[in-house]
Amino acid sequence: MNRKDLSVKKIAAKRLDYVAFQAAKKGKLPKPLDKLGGARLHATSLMSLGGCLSAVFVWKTAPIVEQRQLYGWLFQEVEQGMLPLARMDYHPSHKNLHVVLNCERELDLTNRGLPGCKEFALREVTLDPDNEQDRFRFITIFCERLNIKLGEDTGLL
Amino acid sequence: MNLDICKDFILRQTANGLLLVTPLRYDDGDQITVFAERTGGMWQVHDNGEAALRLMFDGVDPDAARIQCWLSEQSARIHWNEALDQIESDPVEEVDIVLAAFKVAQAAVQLQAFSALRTSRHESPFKGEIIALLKQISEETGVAAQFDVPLDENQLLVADCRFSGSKPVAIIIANSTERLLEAELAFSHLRRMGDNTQVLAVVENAKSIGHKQIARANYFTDKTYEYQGFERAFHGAITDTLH
Repeated sequence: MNRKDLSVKKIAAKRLDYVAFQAAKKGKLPKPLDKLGGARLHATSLMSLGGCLSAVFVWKTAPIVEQRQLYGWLFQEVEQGMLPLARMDYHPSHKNLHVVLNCERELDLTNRGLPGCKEFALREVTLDPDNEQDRFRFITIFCERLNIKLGEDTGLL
Repeated sequence: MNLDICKDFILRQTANGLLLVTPLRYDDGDQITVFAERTGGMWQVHDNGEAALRLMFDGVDPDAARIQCWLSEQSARIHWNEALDQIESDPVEEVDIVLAAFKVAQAAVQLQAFSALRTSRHESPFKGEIIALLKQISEETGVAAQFDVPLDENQLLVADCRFSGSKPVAIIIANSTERLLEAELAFSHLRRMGDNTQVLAVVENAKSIGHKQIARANYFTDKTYEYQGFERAFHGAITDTLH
């Protein structure tokens, strides 16, 4: 996927209506996240944003804040499955907010993660993934960065 | 020449111990970070489950047989915490934290390499061919078909296709002996639960799975079909089953 293709996906109209995390269980999400599960992992469902685009958020809880994490995925539905377009990460352990993009990578990443893809640092924030308001703040930043409208006219939720 | 190797490592204190950010990286560019925590006067180092999470993000199940087999062979240097999907060291004295951290980080790098096991790379044309055929049968018969349907509450046993007509039929495409065993487990589970869904398995050919396994599977599934050389017969058999 080149910059132009990715840019088209970014400017496309998208809307995220509702977000709810549940304990992540294997088989609940489509590939490449179908193996996601574990005692400390929570995930949303695959949420349609309109057109062929969808999002999934993953929250990892842990005893200390440095071990907690947040991830936001943007996917495009293609004939063979789900093509990841972007993943925004927040790792309090060593790296602040950053986004990995499926761009200028000569590899078909359908149903895969984003190995070897370009990473861009974003403006630093201080979040605790175990705090519900901070999770929503992460989601808000994800939506702002990827041009996704949130909820109804009155806002998310 | 003096090389300052330590400058590439970041050590920080946490509420329950230490974290070490190494210059080693996962395939997605994130640095491998390990944590040292106090446990009963000793220290335990772990990767916080991050290597396993990278596998899961690439569609690979850390519980896969080959990965678990490899992990069990590493027990002299690291342990696998099954509940947390986490690589852990043995409890060590404070002076041995660095060595334990390197062992855990090394294992994290190695575990990441198992992403080569992801199914999308190995998916044979056989599975795609059967899925296409089952979709065709669904259209021809008008019996609704769903794909990748869990057959148990814990979602450990997943049918590749489930026809939900008056006589529900679950089909498992067994492209390995392990997958054929899952078909047999699904059959046994459904019978125990009083669920009359028929469980059919299909293998590409007997040679790839083993004649003995197929003979056994015919006692622990409603029917196990061989596909190669019987393509038209398989089409007819599934169609007849749905009627």
